Order: sequence, then structure tokens, then C-alpha cells
Amino acid sequence: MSRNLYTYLLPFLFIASWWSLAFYTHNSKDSEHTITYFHPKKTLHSSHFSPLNKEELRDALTGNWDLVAKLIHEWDIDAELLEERGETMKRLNRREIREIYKLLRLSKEAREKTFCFFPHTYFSASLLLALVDPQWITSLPQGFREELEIYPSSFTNRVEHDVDPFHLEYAMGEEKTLAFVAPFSHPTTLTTLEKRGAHLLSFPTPITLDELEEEIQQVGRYTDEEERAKLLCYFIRAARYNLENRLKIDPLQPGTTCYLNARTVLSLPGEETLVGDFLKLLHLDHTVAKNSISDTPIELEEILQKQPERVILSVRGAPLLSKESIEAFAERNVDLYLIDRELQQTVSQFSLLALFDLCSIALETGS
Amino acid sequence: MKTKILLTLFFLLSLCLILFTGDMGHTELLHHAWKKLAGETSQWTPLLDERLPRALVLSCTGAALAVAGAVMQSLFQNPLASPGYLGVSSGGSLLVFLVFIFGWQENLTLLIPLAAVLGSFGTLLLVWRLSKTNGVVELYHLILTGIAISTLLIAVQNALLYTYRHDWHLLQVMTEWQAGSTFNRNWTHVHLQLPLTLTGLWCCFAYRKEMNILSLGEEEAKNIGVDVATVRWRLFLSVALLTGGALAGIGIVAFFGLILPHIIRSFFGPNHRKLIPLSALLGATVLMLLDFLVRALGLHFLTIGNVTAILGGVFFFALLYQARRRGSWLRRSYS
Repeated sequence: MSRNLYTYLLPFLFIASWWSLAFYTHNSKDSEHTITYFHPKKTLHSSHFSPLNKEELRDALTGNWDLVAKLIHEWDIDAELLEERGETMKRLNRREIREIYKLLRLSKEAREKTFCFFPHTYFSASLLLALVDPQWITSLPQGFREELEIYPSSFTNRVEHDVDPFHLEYAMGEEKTLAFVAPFSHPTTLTTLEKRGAHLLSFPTPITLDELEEEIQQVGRYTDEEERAKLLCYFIRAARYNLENRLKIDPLQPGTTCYLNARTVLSLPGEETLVGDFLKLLHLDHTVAKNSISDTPIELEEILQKQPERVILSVRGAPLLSKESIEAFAERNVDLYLIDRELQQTVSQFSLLALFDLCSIALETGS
Repeated sequence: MKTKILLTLFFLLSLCLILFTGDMGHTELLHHAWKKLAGETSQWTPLLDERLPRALVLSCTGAALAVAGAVMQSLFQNPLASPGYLGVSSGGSLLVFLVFIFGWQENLTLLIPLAAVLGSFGTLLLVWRLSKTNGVVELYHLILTGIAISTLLIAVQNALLYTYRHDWHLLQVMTEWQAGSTFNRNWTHVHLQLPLTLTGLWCCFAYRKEMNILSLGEEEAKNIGVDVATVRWRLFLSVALLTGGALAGIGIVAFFGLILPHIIRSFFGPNHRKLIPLSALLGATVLMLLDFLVRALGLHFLTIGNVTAILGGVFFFALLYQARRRGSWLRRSYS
């Protein structure tokens, strides 16, 4: 009996003592270094520009057209004033500004529709909610309204029903239905929708801001909301110019920036993604995976070889970094920035908020 | 003797490939490591803090899966048996999935490998308990219970995947873990895995003689005086330790535990005195070499788990093709 007990007890004690020694000392050992995580700011302040608030941007992107016009106007004045001081600023031209006011007037007119709209993807749901009167939207894709970091509940509550991609009960409206799908949509779902008489419109995932604008305009054409779509595109472009202008005035400090997706392993974002495009736009693309549409895993050693001044970690919640990695960054005085992964990976007009976050980091390093 | 030396050299070569392949020059690499070993600095060094832990995790996983496979094939007297037979890896995988669903890993990273280990053990205990009839565990019942529990766990995991399919963040994380990656391994992984692997390997080594006797048949083993039930239980426990450790270290590495012991057996014979140490040595070597190749060829879109699954599948198919041409290889393996 006692021999039997030892047979099990000894290995158990061996494992338990190894773990307690390893993890107790590992956790109790005081780190020589402390590390502070930086977060993107909610409002960008500058003596040269009017304050830019993330929540205001978010509100405008939900289809608040008066706010859209107000912000474009403010940004235009900012750029004009700086141009008067001899700076070269990016801004919408006079003709475009005039068109915006015309579009604003037209966009307020309610339109009767001959179609109902079923967004099968988050991308189309987000756009349709901003462009179309919600009564014409049959339902939202499941899980969409749970992305609270991106879409405010006041925005998603405009439509009552959710639709499970495989149980399309609320997909069809009383009128003829246009279904906004994607190349990755499940073939069975597409067949079901077609059999029920829906017209399918497939939109690929945009990988640049220009492509995003193009697709917004296409959605506008299909929904007979071209004015609103154009207005939204102008807004995105004006916001992008404003962010670029801010960086021109307060440029990024020299040094390598490393953007990392931190899930179970660390990886670099692909160049041919929306995030890759943003990083290029803000000159933060020192370490993106070239010619790649997907993430490329990377070892800590490779990251440190690039001698980054700052590391941007795209995370959900707390960063999944090992103690060794944190210490390695701290030893080299690397600034660590945490950025919301949900927002970074979203593909819709709200991607502008991801650009805002990145720009906020770039400006912080410049100031 | 010659073979042993050759295989040891082969192991050392693959270890060197893992340790000395990277962007940093060897002199600088060794200089940093030496400074840390001499206590001149406590700074993070690539050799000691990244490559060495990775090499250890790879060696432990390779050795653990190959030995676990060899033991399972021997206990079930079936060359197609693998550690997955008892649902051990499915249990670990399910518990890790639950950790991801509740997002617990965001507060404690250690929970991922820990869940893998606990899930593996929990499953083994459940399978063992359910297959007991009148206090005795029949091999036949054990296989069926193992398959049933494994199927059930996989089904539950699939059901959860289906339920959370709209949460693409969760799907991304889960897919990444399931693929079995060797990126960003550190001493935490080593400390979690190493004691489990060492204990598991030690137990399998200790029962090499009994495994040889068991391969003659259960009745014969009993007649010779082997306590079949105890030996079997302890070996299954070792398999759970080995598989749980491998799950904690890398994740799911499919087919490795099935194919490698099979190849070793066909080359070196079914004697467990040789088979077990050779499986450990070659398992560690092959997994390190595969990882080196994936990195050297820049196949970043693949993980070590993907590569072993693809190679294993191809090899398995080749075996079946060969079997059709030459008669049953299943019989020959044990003849």
C-alpha cells in the first residue's frame, strides 16, 4: 500500500515542486523594469487645429449629416488658416465643398424605396444603417450589435431584428429584397437567398481607403442614396486629410514603429490590408509584412532586431505578453502602445476610427 | 551502437540548427549569452530566452508525442493507435476553448497551457472511470469509451464553435491555437511542459520490459506475473502527462504520435527497450528539423501543426497504398 502511494506521490511531488519553484520565483521576482502602456487619446488637441474628438467622429459616421458638414467645415477652415501661414495642407477643393452643401440638402429628403435591404455582412450592415432609412433594412447580421467598441447601440438599435446567417427568417422584407453579401458568404446561404427571390450584390473586402470609398459609393448607387454615400466619402477623405495635416505639423519622431497583432502569438499585419494601408498613410509601416494579405507570425528576437522605438500592440483586453517580452522591451526603453483590436480589424466607414487611434499614437510620439 | 551515435549526432545537429539559425551573428549571440550566464547582465538574450526555450519545447513535444504514440500502439496492439485514442487531446483542446470563450487568458496567460493539461487529465480519468466494469478495465471497453468520449468532446467543441461563429475574434484566436504554433515560446512553456514530459518519459522507460511482455498477449503477461491492470493504468497516465504537456507547449500536433513510432518500429523492430528511447530521440529530432525547415523556407503561413498534419496524411496514404499492393502491413508490423 505504502509503496503504491509513493509510486504516485513522488512524481506528483516532482511536478508540483517544479511548478511551484518555477512559477513562484518567476512571479515573485521583482522586475528591475517597470513598463507603462500608452493608450490612444480620445481627443486630439493642437494649437493649430480645432480639437478632434473620437466620439464626435463616431457620431458623424453613423449618418449624422449635419455633424458631417460641421466637421468638414471646421477642418477646411483649419487648413485654410495654416495655408495662409505658408503651410501646404491637404484639403477638399472649393468645388467639392460646394458640392457637399448641395449633397447635404439633398440627403435630407426622404426617399421611398422599391427594395428592402438585407445586409449579410458587418460591412454592409454598417453602411446601410448610415445611408438608408432603417425601416428598409430587414435585419442585422448576428453579433453585429455586440461590437459595442465600434458601433454605438443607438446606431444598431435602429433595426429590430438580427439574422443568423444560416436561419434567414428575417432576411426578406415585404418588398423585393437586395441582399448585400461577400465573396466569403456561405454558398448555401446565397442559394437560399436567391431561391427566396433576393437579388444578390457581392462586395469584396476593401484593402485601402480608396477602395472603401469606392464601395461606399457603390452601395449608395444600389440603395438610391448616392448623395449620402458621396457625403460619407467626402467626410472620410476630409477626416483623413485632417489627420495627415496634423502629422505634417507635428511630425512623427524618427525611429522604427512596430505594429503587432497580439493574439496567442505575435504577428505583423499584412501590407495588403486596411491596417497596412493606414500604417503606410501615417508612415508607421516600418515592419508590415510586405505583399501579404494576412498576418505573419514574428519572434521577439526579430522584433528586437528591428530596434523599434515604439511598439503598437493591437489587443483585445489586456496584452498577452510574457514577462520576458515585457522586460525585453523595457530594457530597450521601447514605448508600448495598446490599441483596440476590434476597431483595428473592422472594415466599414468606422475604420476611420482605427486611423484616428493610429494617428493619435503617431502624434503623441511627435509631441 | 553505431546507430545510436548517428542518431545522437542527428539530434545535436537539429538542436544546433534551432539554436544558431537567426538574424543575429553567432559571435554576438554567444557573447550576449555568455554575459548573462556569467551574471554580468540580466538582459533578455535571444539564445537563452527565445531559441533555447523553443528548442526545449520542440524536443519535449516531439519526444512526448512519439513515445505516447509508441506506448498506445503497444498497449492496444494496433499500429494505428495514437494518443488521441483516449480523447486526451480533445479534452485538453475543449478546456482551452472554454478559456478562450470566457476570455480568462486575458488576465492570466498561463491559463491556456494549464487548461490543456487539466483537460487532458480530466478526460483520461473520465474515460478510465466509465470503462470500469465490476472494478476491472477491459481494453475493449477502454477503446470504445475513449472513442465515445473523444467524439463527444469534439462534438461539444464543434457545437461551441458553431454557437460562437459570429465572434470572429474568438475564431481567430482558436484557429491560431489549434494550428499548433512554435512562435513566442518562452520559459513559462518550458516550465509547464518539462516536468510533465520528464515524468511521463520516465514512467514509459520504466515499463519497457512489461510492454514487451504485454505485446505477447494479456493472458501470457498475467501468467508471467505482470500486473496488467496496474501497468496499463500507469502507462495511460504517462500518455496523459505526455500529451497534456505537448498541448501546453505547442498545441495540437496531429499525426506525429501515429506516424513516427510506426516508422521507427518498421526500421528498428518492436522491442520496446529500443523503441521507447529511439522514439524519444527521433521524435525530438524530427520535430526540431520540421520547425527549422518551416522557418528556413519562410513558410510563415503554415504552423508546425499544419506541416505534421499534411506530412502525416500523405505518409498515411502512402502506407495504405503500399498495403494494397503488398498485403496487410498491419499484420506485418506486429509479426
